[in-house]
Amino acid sequence: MNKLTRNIFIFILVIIFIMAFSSSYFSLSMDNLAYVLAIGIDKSDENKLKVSFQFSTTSPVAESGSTKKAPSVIDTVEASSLSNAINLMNNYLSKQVNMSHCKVIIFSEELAKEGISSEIYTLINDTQVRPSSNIVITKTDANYYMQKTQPQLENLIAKYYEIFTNSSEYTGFMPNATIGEFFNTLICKECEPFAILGGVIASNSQNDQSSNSSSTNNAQRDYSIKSSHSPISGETDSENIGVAVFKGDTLVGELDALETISFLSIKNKADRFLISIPDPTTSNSYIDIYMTPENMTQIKVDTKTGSPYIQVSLRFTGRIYSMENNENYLKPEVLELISDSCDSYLESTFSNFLYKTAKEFHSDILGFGKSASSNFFTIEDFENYNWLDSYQDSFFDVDVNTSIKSSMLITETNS
Amino acid sequence: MISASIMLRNFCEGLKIIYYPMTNIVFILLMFVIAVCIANKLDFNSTLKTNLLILPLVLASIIFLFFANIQNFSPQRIFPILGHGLTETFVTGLLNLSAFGGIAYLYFLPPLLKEPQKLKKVTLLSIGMTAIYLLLCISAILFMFPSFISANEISPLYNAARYIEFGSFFQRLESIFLLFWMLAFACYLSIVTKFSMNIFKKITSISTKKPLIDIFGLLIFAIALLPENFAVSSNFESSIYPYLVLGIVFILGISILVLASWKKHKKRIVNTEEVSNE
Repeated sequence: MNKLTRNIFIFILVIIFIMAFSSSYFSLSMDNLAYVLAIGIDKSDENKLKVSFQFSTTSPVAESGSTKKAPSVIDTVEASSLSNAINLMNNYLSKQVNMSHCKVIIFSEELAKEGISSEIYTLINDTQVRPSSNIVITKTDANYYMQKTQPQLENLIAKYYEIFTNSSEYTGFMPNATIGEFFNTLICKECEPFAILGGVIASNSQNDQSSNSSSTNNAQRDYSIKSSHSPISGETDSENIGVAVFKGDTLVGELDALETISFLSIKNKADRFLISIPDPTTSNSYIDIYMTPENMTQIKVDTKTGSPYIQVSLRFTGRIYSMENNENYLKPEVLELISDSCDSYLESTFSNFLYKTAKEFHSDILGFGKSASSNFFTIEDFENYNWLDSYQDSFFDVDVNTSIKSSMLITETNS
Repeated sequence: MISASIMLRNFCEGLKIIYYPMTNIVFILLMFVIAVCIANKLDFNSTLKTNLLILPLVLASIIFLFFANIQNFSPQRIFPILGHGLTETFVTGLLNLSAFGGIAYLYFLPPLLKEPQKLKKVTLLSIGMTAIYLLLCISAILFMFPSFISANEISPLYNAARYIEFGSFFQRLESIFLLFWMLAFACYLSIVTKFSMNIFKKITSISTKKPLIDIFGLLIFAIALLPENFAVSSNFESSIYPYLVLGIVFILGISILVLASWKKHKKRIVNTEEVSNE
């Protein structure tokens, strides 16, 4: 082959390859794509699903220093399946729906109670959907939740969706539940899935709250809140407090703020959190402690009988956050008393939470089954034990060891 | 070469799903085949030097993949320790030794070594490194996922790579992993083709390998296109390839070793008899 023929051959080959691969690149061109920020999936009366897509627009706003908010668009379509809904939306928009920037997947409570496995499998099978996308179960319609999500402090809704779970690290009020983790726990035989509990602030929520919890202390009432039942009001109407508990692919219950703290603490997902415990030095008074887990939760599961016996051991360090007059937080005996009060309070709280997951929800969202599996030699033995059904007969022994170090800056308040 | 071609098909099917949904599989396969042909047309040293450049990247990427995902690990997933039972783990599980199929290439290595006396060291080092890296990959997958709905050439590690995130800035690293794996796969194919041509040359006693390069490239391409769909090609990999590797690497290898030992022993007896007769 002479040089000219070879060059012509190479040229033709390059042209063929450009043509062959251009279709893939053309289909992924920004001009042809509509980037979804969030997907809301509701149950429809006529058809099976009502799917809402929240898109980012490419309008030139929200530059550095600009106070203008970048608009987002919500379009809704009814279809028999999620993939059909995406297909219909592709046609409606004349652009291809792209989910590579989708940060939140929202399901309505109504749909979640009927099971969402087919939607989860469809989404996880899509290479565009990130496993880190958050999954939210709303107490209202998913579409309504999306409309009401108008962040006050962020110009870009995409930025808000990116960071909205960050507060869970220091409040412990919601888990950072992702679709990847949801899928893994859905197909797992040792654990059950969970999601973020979302909702929209009801106009009469404050009244509901005060009437519902009239018997509890004010401080404790702050921790019995959950989405759609919180005393919050503001520009942003959506809120995310609590955990949506699943048994298989079906929603079976909800956890409030304090139970979510318990959940995240035992799961080693809480970096720090604030709790109100009974003040041992003053009756009918509560003291706020800022807790930090000291090490990983120790879990032992005994499966000798049909009723699993689960021992949970946690260690925390705490600092006193709230201050009262005439207190001395430098006295070792005072700190000792507060530590004891903290231990018994947390043991009781964690224990109640664990029994709630077992007896009420029958759902091992904490994944104790993974620890239980070490008691068996083969998968068949473990499957014969039928962990997910045996979990409801579990007994728990919670041991909490708290070490209250001091208060924050002020250590003594003698007047 | 057949197994490498089928592996290429599976790998390209994975690439098609992830990055080239609208491109015909023929063109994706051709990209690799052309790269292999060009690599083999150049001196073998160039292939080795390319490997020397790419291998550290691939090895580093696997280590990075493992450590970056540690936060997503559940070490308890290793239990129940015996899996599906003693027989399934230690008898049927022997088929998983096919992961060490690369040992087959060590048989053809001595003539290519500058210092053949170092073969033992090279062999031990390669098997040790393969074992460590296989362990890292399998551990990452085992600790992260309960089970797989499907697993092709890329899918498990690609899925693991998708979980790597450091804050909201450092995300979506799977693309760079795929690039490394594509380069590594091209290198692997070049080596396989080189060894295949060497064997063919020795069998047929032809003087030069140059005309064989395009033929072998076309052969790889044709074999890769043979399976009707991904199900057929993955079935080959899960059902036939392990037996092929066990047969060639272990049974054939050990048989040759036994026969050689017997021949050596027989030769020694003959020599001893000759010495005693003298």
